[in-house]
Amino acid sequence: MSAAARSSTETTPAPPRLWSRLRLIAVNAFIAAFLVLLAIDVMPQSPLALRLKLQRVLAPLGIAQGPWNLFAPGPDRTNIRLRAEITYRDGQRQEWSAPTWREQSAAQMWWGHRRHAWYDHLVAQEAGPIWEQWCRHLAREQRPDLADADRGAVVRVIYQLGPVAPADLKPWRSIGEPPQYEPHELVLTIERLE
Amino acid sequence: MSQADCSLRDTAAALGRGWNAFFHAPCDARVCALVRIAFACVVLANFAALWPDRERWFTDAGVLTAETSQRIASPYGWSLLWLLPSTTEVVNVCLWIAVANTVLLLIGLLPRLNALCVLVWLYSFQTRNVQIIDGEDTVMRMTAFFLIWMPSGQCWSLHALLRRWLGFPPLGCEAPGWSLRLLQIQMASILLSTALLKLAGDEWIDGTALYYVSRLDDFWGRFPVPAWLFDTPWTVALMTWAVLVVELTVPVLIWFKETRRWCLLVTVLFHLANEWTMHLFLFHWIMLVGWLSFLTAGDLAWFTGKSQRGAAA
Repeated sequence: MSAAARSSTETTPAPPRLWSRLRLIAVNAFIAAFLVLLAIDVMPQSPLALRLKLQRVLAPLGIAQGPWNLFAPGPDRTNIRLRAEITYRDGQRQEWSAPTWREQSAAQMWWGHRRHAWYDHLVAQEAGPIWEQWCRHLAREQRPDLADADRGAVVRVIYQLGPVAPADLKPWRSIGEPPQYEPHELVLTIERLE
Repeated sequence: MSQADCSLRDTAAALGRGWNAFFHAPCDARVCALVRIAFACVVLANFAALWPDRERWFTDAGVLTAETSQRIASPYGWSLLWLLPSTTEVVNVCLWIAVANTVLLLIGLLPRLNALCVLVWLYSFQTRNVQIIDGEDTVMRMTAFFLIWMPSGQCWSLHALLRRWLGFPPLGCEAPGWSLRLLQIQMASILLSTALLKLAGDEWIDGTALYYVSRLDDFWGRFPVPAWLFDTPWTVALMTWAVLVVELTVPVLIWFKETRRWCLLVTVLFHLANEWTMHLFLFHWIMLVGWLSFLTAGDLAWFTGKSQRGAAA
């Protein structure tokens, strides 16, 4: 290579073609990596152990999904009615009930969607650490007149199951009729709040 | 041609060409802008619904202290709200900043940066209280993630307007299409994932799944539907299987130009029917936002042509 040619290569910046080629490689690598992660995370057939390992990457990035299980593999078969009995330290008793969903308007259901999700997840928890805090909140909410109302209160959270009859038992209950709840009640938790 | 005639190099080259044609063909930037605008509207509705109960869900005076929320969240998750005092004032400020980022995304000012901010806020609020989140929250996060990479500010945005005012040449309607493709793949994956899971459930195979769904009081009965439709076993079976057919075929057929529009029409009807009958908050709306990514320049011309004719009439 002549001195003039060498000097020309030293001073000329890298051609834009190289930059766009590197960019293309980076974009393709990103796409390929994302597709692999997506397939493992979303497809129900992917191994659970692998899916759990991937959470280390996906959760911090805010893009963890898991398989999409709305009404799958089968829909829930149980309606639930939730209520609570609160006994305060001054001996007064209060009752609280979750809304009767059937009696709520479409607008009330829309605005109250997060409350519905909360109750739904609450009942599904086993020995959930959230029960105590929810009970404290409930005790305070029901007695705004009493300072530190949760202190010394006992909260019994009770629910009733309304199973949907198996589909092979005919005639079916019409969608216009309310669900039938079992006569007995189940105690979800008794929280003695200090 | 015998099998031995297949060259590994030719096959790899053909795959490479296919990959480039699929991911790197330019897209119509107006479609990206449409996704951006619709997404921001849904996220604003989400924040509006959170606002009245913000103290209940996100402060230590509510149902879940920050400490417990860290115990029940993913061990790899994080939330900006965990770094800040868990008070109403702090949550108010965070929500207002999140709303500001969403509005900036809506009007298209620094859309990539604001999409990133919206993702951070959505994730922070969701991780602060994982007990109140549902499918729509995941779709919102994913869409925000794709918008970070999408050229959504090229059209119908304050960014484009400012460029024009400042005398820069207009960016035009053509943009790199790979990020829009990723959103399309995401949408098809959601449908396929749920369909494959449903195939493992007896109720979807024997045609009774919608019998059970329609008797769940907390989900069902948003607006009136003819009772006989869900009280008659054969109509319930037909509708149940129709759901499976839609969820299995749309993720495949939507990629072909001959069937794309039909798939989009069926998908829109499917989501609107679900929205009519069930209380699923913003799930179907954010899904419809995602399906917008399958629109093309031809569809937009068709819509605008129709609307111009409508206006002229």
